[in-house]
Amino acid sequence: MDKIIMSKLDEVVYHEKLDNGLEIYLYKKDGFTKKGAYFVTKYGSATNDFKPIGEDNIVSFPKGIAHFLEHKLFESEDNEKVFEKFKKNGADVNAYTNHLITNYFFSTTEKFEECLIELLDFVQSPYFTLENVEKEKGIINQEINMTDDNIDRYIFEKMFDLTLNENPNKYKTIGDKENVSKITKEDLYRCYNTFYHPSNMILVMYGDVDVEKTFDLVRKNQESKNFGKQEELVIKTFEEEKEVCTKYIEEKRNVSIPRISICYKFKEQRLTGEDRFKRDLFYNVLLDMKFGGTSSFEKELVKEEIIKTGLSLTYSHFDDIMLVMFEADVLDKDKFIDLIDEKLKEDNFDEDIFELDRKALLTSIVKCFENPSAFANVIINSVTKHGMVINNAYDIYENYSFDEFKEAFKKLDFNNKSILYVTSKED
Amino acid sequence: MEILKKEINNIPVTIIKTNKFKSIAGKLYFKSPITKEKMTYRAVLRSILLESCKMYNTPEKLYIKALENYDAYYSASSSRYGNYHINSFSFSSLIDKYTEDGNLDEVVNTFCEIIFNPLVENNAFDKETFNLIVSTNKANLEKIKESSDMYAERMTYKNLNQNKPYTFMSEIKYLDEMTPESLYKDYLSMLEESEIELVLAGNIEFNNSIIEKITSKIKNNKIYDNKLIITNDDEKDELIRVKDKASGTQNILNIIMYLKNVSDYELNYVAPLYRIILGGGSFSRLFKIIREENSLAYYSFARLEKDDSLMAVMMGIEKENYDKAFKLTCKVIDGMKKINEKELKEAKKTLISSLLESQDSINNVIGRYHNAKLFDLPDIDLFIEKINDVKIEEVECFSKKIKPNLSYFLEGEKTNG
Repeated sequence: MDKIIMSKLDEVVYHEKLDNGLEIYLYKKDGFTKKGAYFVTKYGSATNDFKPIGEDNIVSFPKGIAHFLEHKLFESEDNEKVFEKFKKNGADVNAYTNHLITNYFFSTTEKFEECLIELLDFVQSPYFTLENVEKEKGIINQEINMTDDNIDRYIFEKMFDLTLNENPNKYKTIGDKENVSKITKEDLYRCYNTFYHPSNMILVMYGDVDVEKTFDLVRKNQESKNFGKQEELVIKTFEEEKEVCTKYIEEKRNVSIPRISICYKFKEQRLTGEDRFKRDLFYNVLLDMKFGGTSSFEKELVKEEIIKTGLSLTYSHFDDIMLVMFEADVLDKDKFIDLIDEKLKEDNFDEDIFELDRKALLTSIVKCFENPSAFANVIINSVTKHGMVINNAYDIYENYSFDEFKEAFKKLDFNNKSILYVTSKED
Repeated sequence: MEILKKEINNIPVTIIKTNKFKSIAGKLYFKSPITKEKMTYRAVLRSILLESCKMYNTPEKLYIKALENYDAYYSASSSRYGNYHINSFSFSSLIDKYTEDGNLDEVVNTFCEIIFNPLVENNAFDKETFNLIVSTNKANLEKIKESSDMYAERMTYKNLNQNKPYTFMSEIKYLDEMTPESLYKDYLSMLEESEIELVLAGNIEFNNSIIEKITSKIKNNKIYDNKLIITNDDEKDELIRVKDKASGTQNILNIIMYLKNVSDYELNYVAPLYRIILGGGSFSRLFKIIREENSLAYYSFARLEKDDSLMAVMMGIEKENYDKAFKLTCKVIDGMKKINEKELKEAKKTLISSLLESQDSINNVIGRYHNAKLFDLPDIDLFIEKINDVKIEEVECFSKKIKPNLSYFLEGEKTNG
């Protein structure tokens, strides 16, 4: 077991790589009641074309299968539902799938060890039958209806579809009804056996727990199971172009005020570790400085009746592709497009504001340790996106210079963007 | 955690003393009887006060000031609790170990500016800010139609007795009537006609100057002793079924049940356990029967509105399953007259666990304290003891008083895919 010291924050993360390849992390926090764990496979909805373990060729699986698999892992052979097992200990258990990972987790105030073993055991004991797979399709279809009904989520996911060409992050995590209907029990086992080997997973625990005892418990649990040697994962790679797939599209949906979304696409170098962390920092500071609370840009747009309410923006990144997305209830579409473009390209940054934004980021790091489960999520993000726990985040933020920021800005190419304009069905 | 209480400048002040957090937080509550207009007015008031103030007369200046104070956090809420409305204003600041000396003082100065020194001239809020906030609130109300579940929830409550405060909501008609002058009048009424209370959490003492700073700004403190909880004992024992249509994809079924002739003890200790067994998460009867065994819904849960004496069941279903889902849900509710020891034991564990977990957040520590005071609940330890003492017969007796009174079905217009 080794200790990862969080620089300047008096905080420690315990870490160990087990013989079967599973990487375990524990953020011990004294005095907090809530304890829990996240058991994560580095397999999400964007990994759909790969060579299943024991097979010779790359296979394309139905879209949405990673999310479907997440639902089905809650079935158990002994007929006692997974939820029931956690309920006995007053614990909450749940899971989610995104493009990159599938995450199973629980939180509790008592019987942490029992819950931890339940978590490891249910995720590592798949039980799929023809009947339980078919039954799940109805539930997933309901979930598809629900997400499709949410206009914000619809637009967010649609923008990935418009900006990306080959990159599988283009598709919705949940899939669609047609793809979901094709999923079979056999497909689920092929995906499971390929990506749920401990060497492709991480376990992140948090709370006021005994470090030695907890690590020993996980070691013993994993030693008692036979996973075999993991074959090398062969996943189809996609070279994404810098140009967007679709530049402009209009749609009619259930909106009361026309909605617009603009998504800028930036193709950058593939980075890992601190370099990737720093690049995320750059994009966050950039958006804060241009569109955050210190800027009156949004208010001016409302005042000039270009947008109706607020402007929302998000930043997503997939390896070498960065997406910066703007969304608003729009009154003057063309002006909005021009003004966003103009604002993004402006290079007159205020150094005082840069310093204040940096101060706020430093505060956010300190505050993160007030919430152990939130910090456990920082570890998951760090490991799955940057390949390591960034233990010197405070120093990186503290030393990030205005010149460095301006240099990074100069390299941006703003010429690739997709636009979605949604008007009411009643118009 | 130690609870310390004192009255300072005629304002009850509570300190929840703890070293657990790296922040200090505070919340100032303004409680007053609810009216139909208040829901709309106070929501606008909350937003306009947080937008700017005399000293920082644009949102940008206020935001920069917060950043200067290590990203100090200010927020406000406007909510109805039974027969009352409560506006609350909060701040939180990193403890001085992580900041320059005097940071907390500065944070509280700004907090006081936000609440007590708004951007007002000639007895009216700044017109430009006012127009912006009203227009945003109006657009947000119009946009409720875009979200089937929000629309269904609103319409469900609209179908209940219009004299009951749980049907009072933000309305466009009140926004249309509102002026910068009328809003300022309402602001003065909030300051002068409210029961006010200050709650702080963190490593702080009563002699800290921030307490005097906040309480000295308050001139009046009213005491209201009307009952907080709305009773439904006078409501008819009938089942009304309403069908509605919307242009979304989802089909939503909401069921409302009046909690009639129930005691405070039942509302505080029995009803939360009943809710968990019926529809409180992924192991409840509704989840098991509606979703897992019959694949009728992706979500299906129960919600307790203790202050309104209401229990609600909500689910998203396929259009063609409406009758089946409705009948089955009624059967599940009826079946609650018989529960077993295992269910009760697990519901207790769930409730206690979520209560204890919530105490890991400084804002929840304040929130739970205030909530307990509103509903006259004991401290956490005694509350847990009383929850553990609830008997199976008490939940079954409570179940016998409950049956569906309103079913609201929102039918979506198309089937996806």
